[in-house]
Parts: sequence; C-alpha cells; structure tokens
Amino acid sequence: MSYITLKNIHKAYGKDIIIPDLNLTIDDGTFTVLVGPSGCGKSTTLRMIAGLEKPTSGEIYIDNQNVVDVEPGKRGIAMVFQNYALYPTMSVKENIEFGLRNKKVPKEERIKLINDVSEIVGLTPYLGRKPSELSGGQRQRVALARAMVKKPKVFLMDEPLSNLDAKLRQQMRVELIELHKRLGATFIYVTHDQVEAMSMGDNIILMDKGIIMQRSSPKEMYHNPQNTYTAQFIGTPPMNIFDNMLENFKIGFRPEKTALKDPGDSLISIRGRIITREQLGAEMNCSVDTEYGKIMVKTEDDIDGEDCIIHVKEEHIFVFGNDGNRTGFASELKARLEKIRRGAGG
Amino acid sequence: MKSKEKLSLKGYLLIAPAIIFLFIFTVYPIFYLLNSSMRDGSLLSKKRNFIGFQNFKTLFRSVDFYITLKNTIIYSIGLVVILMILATLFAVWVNGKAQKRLNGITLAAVFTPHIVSLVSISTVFLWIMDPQIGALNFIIRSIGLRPFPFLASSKTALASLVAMMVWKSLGYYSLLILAALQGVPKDIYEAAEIDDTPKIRIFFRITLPMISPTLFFTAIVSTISSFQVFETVNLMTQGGPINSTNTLVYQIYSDAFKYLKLGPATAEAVVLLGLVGILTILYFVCLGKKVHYQ
Repeated sequence: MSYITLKNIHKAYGKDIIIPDLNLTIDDGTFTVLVGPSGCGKSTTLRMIAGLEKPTSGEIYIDNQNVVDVEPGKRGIAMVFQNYALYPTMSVKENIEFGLRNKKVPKEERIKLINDVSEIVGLTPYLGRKPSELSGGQRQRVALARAMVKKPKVFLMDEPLSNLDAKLRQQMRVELIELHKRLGATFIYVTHDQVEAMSMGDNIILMDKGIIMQRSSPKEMYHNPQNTYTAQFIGTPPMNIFDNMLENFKIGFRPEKTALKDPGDSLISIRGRIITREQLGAEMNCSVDTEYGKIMVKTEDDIDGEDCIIHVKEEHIFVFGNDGNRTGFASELKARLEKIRRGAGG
Repeated sequence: MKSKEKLSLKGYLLIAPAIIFLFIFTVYPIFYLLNSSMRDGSLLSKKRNFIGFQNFKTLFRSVDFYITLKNTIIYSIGLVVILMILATLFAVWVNGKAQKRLNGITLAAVFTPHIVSLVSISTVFLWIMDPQIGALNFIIRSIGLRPFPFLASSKTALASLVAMMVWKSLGYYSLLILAALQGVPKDIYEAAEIDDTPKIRIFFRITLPMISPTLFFTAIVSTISSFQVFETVNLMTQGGPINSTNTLVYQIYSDAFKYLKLGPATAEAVVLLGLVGILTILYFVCLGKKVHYQ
C-alpha cells in the first residue's frame, strides 16, 4: 500500500517528445486507469513507474522515496505484461516461485505462498505445466499469481487483458476488481479500451500526446467531460460536436441522448436524412445527414423512411469554447440555440 | 478404396524423384562403403575378394588406430567445448546494450575468418605459428617469454590446430547464437528485472534455456564437423609430429590414397560413420530432454 507521485516528468526518445511535463499523484489503495490512444504515453508512464524506462528528467516518488535511480526489482512493485511475459522454460510453479527465490524466501514459506495464490487465481491443478500448455486466460492468471505472490505495494498492469477473447476479458475484469478489493494494494492499469477503463477504475486518467486531458471518476468522465477530447474519447459512438451551430462555441450531445420521436421538451430539433442504419438489438445506430454535417444517433425510436428530425433536450447539451474546453451554458446561448429548433420547423 | 489407392500412388510418384536421388547419392554409397570395408585389395585391383571382418580385426589390433581415435576425440571435445563457451559468451556480449555500433564492427571482424578458405588460413597459420620466424613467437619473444613450439612439438600440435579452428569458426557460431539471443522476447527480461533477478541467474535460468535449441544444434553440427577434420591436418602437419595430429579422416585419406589400402580405409570410414551416429543419438538422448522448444 503506497501512493505514487510523478513530478515534472519529461520523457523523450531523441527528438521525439513522448511526455512533455507530467505531474500526477496516485493515492494509496486506488485502482487508477491510464487510458488513451496508442502513443499517448500511458505505457511509457507505467514503465517509468516500474523502472523499465528512465525519465529524461523529473522525479518519481513511491511513498516518500525518490525511486528514479532505484532498480525495478527494489521498488516494491509487480507488473503484469500484455504478452504475459512468463518464463517459457519454467513450469507454472517455478514461474511463481522465481521472484521469491531471488528474494531468498525460505522454502516452507515459498510453498505456502505459492499454494495460497494459486488457490486464489484457480491455478492449483496446473502448477506442474509449462506456460505453452495453458490457455490465454490461464497464462494471464499465472502472470497475476507471479505478481501477487511478491505481495507488492503497487500492481502495474500494461494492457493485461488485450490478448484475451471478449468473453474471458469480461470475466477477468470482474476478477481483477475483486482482487483489488481483496488485496487493497494500489493498482495502476494501462489500457486503450474505454470500456475497460470505465468499468474497472475508480480513478481514470485520460492522456493524449503525453498530456493529461482529464482526471476523474468514471461517472464524471461520462457526465462531465472537461473538453471535447474527453467528450469524444469516452462513449460509443463518440459525442457529436459541431462548431457551426453557434459562433465561437462548440455544441456537443451524445448519440444515445438524442431522439427521433419528439419528446416534447427538446431544445434543439434538427431536420436530416438517415444515411445508414446499424441495428444493435434494442437500439439502433443511425448516421444522419444534416445541414450542420453528419450526426450519429443511437436510439430505440424506430421510424419509417429516411427523413427525420433529431431532438435533443437541454440537459443533454454540452457547450465548449473554441479552444475545446468546457464552458458554462449561459441563458443567452440557450436563446440562440432555440432558434435552431424553430429553424427545423417543428 | 480405389480412389484411396490412386491417391497414395500419386503421393509415391511425387516423392519418387527425391527418393531416387537419395538412393543414388546417400543410400548406395553407404552400402558400397560397407561392402568395400569387407574386401581386400587396393584402388587399382581389378577384383577385390570378400574377407569378412578381417579389415576391422586388423584395425582394432593396431596401436596406431587407437592413437588416431584418441587424437580425433581430444580434438573434437576440445574444439566443441571451447567453441561453444566462447561463442556463447561472445554472442551475449555483442547482444548487450552498450556500444551497439562498435559491437557490429567486432562481430564483422570475428565473422570474417569464416568466409576465408580453410586452405588459405592453414597456409597463413603455418607461417604465423612457425616456431622460428612466426608472428606469434615474435610477440611471445618480444615480451620476454620462451618461444612456443606450436606445430613442431607432438605435445602442442593438436592444441594449435584446435586454437586455429576456434579462431576460424567463432564468428559463425556466435552469429547463430546471436540470432537465437535476439529471438528471446524482451519482456521476459523485463519481468526478470522486476523479479529482482541477479544477472548471473538471468543468464543461467533464462538466457541459456531460451537459446538451448540453437546451442543443441550448434553442438551437434560442430561435433560432426570436428570429427571430420582433414584439410588443416593435411596441409599443416600431415598427421605429425610422431602421429600426434593424425585424425580419422586423415588416416582414411592416407590409407586409401597414399598406401592404396582401400579395404582398411573404408573400414575406418565405417568406424567414423558409426561414431558420429552414436554421438548424435547420445546428444539427442542426453540433451534432447533438456532443450526447450517453443
């Protein structure tokens, strides 16, 4: 259990600046998810905390100790890799035991620890097998067991579920959340998958080009995006954002917060033509051509024909400034938006 | 049923050309060799009589043949052991993070002897290792040590041949091992680093097992080729001094083409064939289980 602080972290490979200036504190015992598109610096950040990469400048604190010059093995962390990184020549038991042997843990204690963790992750019947004889999910459990057995202060996970199939990923997500509750250690989890981020983290850090775009709880991420980047990264399909509705402002609304049948109290109504329909089950994704551009609509409203009117309620409208940052929804803006409804003819 | 037979006939037909060549160039010569080893006469005889295992009996009664065998085995073990250790260490060093560009140049330099013909190298080393005017003894003398006899003494000649072959083959085997090292996934090393593994333990518990298939292969290949050492012996020592560098293949050559004793020569060849075969099987039985294949 410990907290982590990154101070003025700068990381560059030659001339490529990956992370310009990162400041970050991760609280003790939290499940923090670093999320962002590939190349946003999330993995690099994690690897710097692990000690596998050195920051070009800046300081990393685990508890109160600056660990920049501390070897990865002495930082009190454990890491789970995307490709599991199991030792292929060793059995499951030897894989789990390897780190303990390095720490010179006595044999009886080693056996007890191995039995305990393999019980928790359900590996007891497979202890004698080689990683190549295990399925992807079992390998991931070995990687987890190997991390857990060291009783680290911090768990670092680098896209640990991305090699698993969808069903297993879902299951492992739940198991990881339970594991976090059981261990109470600090978890730092890197993923590019917003669903993983939203469902697992109690604290999400969204990064782009080495800069933190937003840091908040999953709920806040969705309901209260601080900028257009966050608004469009979280949610599928991404939020509709238009800069041609109001001068000097960007107007956004989520596809799932629109209606094709008039709910009666909508603020905006836009006339359009449906170009494509994507049936998802109960809901449908429609791509609608309007005078402002293409709008994505996700709705249960099933209408015949191609002509439609898209309705959006006031509470579902987000206003951003020209710089992309969220601004307040002044009543003056509301009046101007109402004109759009009248323009649609109702 | 009929179509199945047709299908298998088609299969046999398709592999027939390869099988025919295999018979002409591999199976037939082996039987010819076995047959010849049980006959008397020479390369020039019109008719060679069947004498059973007489050639083998003479061979195993001759003291010289045991010396030849001993030389071959010492040469082989010496060369393979030294070569494997040096090549592995060198490959690990070149694979290291530091001095990437310099490492490339070093590797090229060490690899170069491999592409030079063995005949040229033998000729050059005859001079380099010359006890009187050789370059090595010039250096040894200039730092105040006693000159080394190299090929001139029966005590050092075989070791000198081993040393020269190590110099020539090191680059080749290093390159093979280096390729294996670069095939080891980087994240395994990272995991080991996070597991706080000492460097020595990483080498023995991770690196060596991961490259074991290549080490196994190079061990077999270098053993087989070292058993067949011939050019260097022929060009540099002709088996001397006092039989100290006489090896199996050189003796086969001498018996067949110098003394025209085809029977004994082919009998020795059969012994060589058997030895290499047994060794390869031994490798597979003893080491095969320890080798990790992905």
